[in-house]
Amino acid sequence: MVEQAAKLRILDCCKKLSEHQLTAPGDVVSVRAEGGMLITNPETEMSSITENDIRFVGRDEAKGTQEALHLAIYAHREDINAVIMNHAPFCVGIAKRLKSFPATLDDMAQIIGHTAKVSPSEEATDILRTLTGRNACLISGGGVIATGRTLDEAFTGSLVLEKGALCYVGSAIIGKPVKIGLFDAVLMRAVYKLKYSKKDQAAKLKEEQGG
Amino acid sequence: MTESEVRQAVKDAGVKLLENNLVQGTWGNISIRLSDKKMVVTPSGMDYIRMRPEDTVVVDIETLEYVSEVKPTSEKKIHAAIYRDRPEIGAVIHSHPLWSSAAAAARKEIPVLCEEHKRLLGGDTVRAGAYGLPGTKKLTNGAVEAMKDRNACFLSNHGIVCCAETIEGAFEVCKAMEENSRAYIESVVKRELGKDSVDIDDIFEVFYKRIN
Repeated sequence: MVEQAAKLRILDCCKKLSEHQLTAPGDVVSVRAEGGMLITNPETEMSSITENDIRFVGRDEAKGTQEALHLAIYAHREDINAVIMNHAPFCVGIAKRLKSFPATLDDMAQIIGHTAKVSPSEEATDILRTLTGRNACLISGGGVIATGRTLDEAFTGSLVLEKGALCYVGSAIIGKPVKIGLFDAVLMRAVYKLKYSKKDQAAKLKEEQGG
Repeated sequence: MTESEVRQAVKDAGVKLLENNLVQGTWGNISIRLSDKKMVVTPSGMDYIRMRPEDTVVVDIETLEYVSEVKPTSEKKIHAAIYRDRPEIGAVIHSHPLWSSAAAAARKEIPVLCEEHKRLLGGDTVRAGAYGLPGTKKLTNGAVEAMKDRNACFLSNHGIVCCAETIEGAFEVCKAMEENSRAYIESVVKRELGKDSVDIDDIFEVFYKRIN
């Protein structure tokens, strides 16, 4: 029952990622599960994924670097229960040239952090290092890793990160991007994590875990 | 409308904002004026799908007092200040659409490009309110000032505020803000590249020039 409910939530997330045009072939979604994780098949496009494309992978049963990366994230970050890999277009454009980009919007400062960093490679060690203290990062020449306490939070993180990237690009085109100050960004992120979203995310985690 | 109808209308407007990608997650908030002294606002930190009509909160426009176990949005001050300043206004939406937020990130007053949008937005330009942390007096006062003789403004590094006599009207103002912001950003790219239409590669071509 729990696994079935989790699969339905993954399917819903894949559908929304596709509808928002954030994905490309090879992208995957996973959620933490007892003893491992549930993960989508990278060979199936997000818009076409069915329950049969979602499989359980035990802690030591990773096939390939992508599954190993997701398991490594769950092993190193107890606060993370969902991981989304996507190719949101403005994030991809930024990841081609920059090593990071700053939060110019308060929702990015709250959900993602003061800056979004670009991992130098797809190696798990680089990505884990880049994700330190953050919920998301870009991958140089690649896509995006967005994580969350719940799948819902990871999805919202994907949207907010793409919006943050678009806003950095758009504001640079018409003028000058104004960064959120470090003090304000740290304050807003603390309020978001400890207070603003805590009750909502706790309720969603209970739902996602079949409670 | 009765109080329960207004609560339902607030809930429905939230879902409509999400469906039209004019807001993400629990961000943004909505209010409808219930009377001269009261407004119904969205709760704090709850997404619009999970939110039930009874989760909305009736708040006093003058004192900001409320009787509810559910906490109202932390941006209730902006909503109340607009209702106090503009008696004709019946609905306020605070949102974070993509392209509008890019203009808000530049803290820039931008031109309104077409006549229909000028009618909806109430002027030839859209101003940016002063930057302030969420829920602060600085943010509220900046929004009220930037909204003078207008139906919308940018909130610096934050998003937009839109208002109208009805919630349907406020939603149309939100849509107009987003369409105009996108059209303005793309017009800069078109002018710079000498093109009649642009795509994301063109946008990045200009962006890469800016950051070099």
